Amino acid sequence: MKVVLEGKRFRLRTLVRADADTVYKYAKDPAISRYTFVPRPYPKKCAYDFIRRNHIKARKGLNIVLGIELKETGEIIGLVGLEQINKRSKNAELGYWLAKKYWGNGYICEAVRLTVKYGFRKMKLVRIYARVMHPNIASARLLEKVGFTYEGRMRKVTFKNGRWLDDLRYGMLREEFI
Amino acid sequence: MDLRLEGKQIVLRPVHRSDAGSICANAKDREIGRFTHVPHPYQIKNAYDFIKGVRRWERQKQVVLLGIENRETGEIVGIINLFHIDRKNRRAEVGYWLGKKHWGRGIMSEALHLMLDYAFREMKLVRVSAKVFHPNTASAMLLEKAGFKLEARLRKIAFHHRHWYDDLCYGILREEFRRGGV
Repeated sequence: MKVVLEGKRFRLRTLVRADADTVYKYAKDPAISRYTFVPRPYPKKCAYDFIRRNHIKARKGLNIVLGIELKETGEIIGLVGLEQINKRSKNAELGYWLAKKYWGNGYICEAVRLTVKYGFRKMKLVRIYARVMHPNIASARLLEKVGFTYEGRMRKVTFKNGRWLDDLRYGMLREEFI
Repeated sequence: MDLRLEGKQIVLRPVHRSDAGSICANAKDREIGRFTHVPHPYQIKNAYDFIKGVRRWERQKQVVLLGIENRETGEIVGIINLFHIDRKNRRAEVGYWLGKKHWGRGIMSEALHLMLDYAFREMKLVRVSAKVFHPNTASAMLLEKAGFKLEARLRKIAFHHRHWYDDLCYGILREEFRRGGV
């Protein structure tokens, strides 16, 4: 299923194989993998595998991952998605990353708002949640700004770059979505 | 060699086909399925399928599942397991249930202590987590008594018996575990 969500400066759309080049170009930045599950090192094969894997999962209804396509250039500058879609509990996990050179322009905020709206209105989800690796303050602030509620902190969940990181948990219920 | 964890009132050991009768007798109470994924009604076939399933999960190395054997009778009165075992991040989740007529005697506390000791000492995990459907107060109290800390409350995350439940998320770190005893 093809999904297109129109924003002001970008559109969110299903990834195609040809996007692997730009996904690779931006995802290999250590600033991206620092607090995400984007692998490091990030060979080009990772981008192809990621896109293929997502098509399979999307067909099974397990996730929807969309590229953030800048209208001006047609380039994919980041990803946003709903993953771990649970049809029974109507829950899904929100995830995202944005190329570093586009940080600080409100792109990801808008992309998350569009995705959350799609999740609650079209997919009829009851809850959308997100995990932030502490101390990724930028991501935590973003979620709070969009209206997510802080639900707790799981200690020492992820071993990354030689240390243990806690998970900050955020959630939004359908009735909290304005 | 089969894993065997010895306690005062109980022994934790793998379950076998011959345990199906006692597993079924203890699991079939409606109270067991209320806040767990144990099916209800529970029949002997469920117990056989469960025992068969355990072998498969264990082969995939993601689960350590043990029966809680009453030392006096040899009967399996409940189940405790470590699952979602994540070797890279050295953590796992613990889950359990105990037959209702055995509640209130510290059996589950003892089983949990034995399992945590194994998880931290033998498996060298750094974190064990547990999820409790709110309002399963008995289970929450058991975890707190064992030294777990309430870390998060995830709202409406589980749909169970036609209701949405919050998950109370508990965690215990290796340095918080008291080896001394229950």
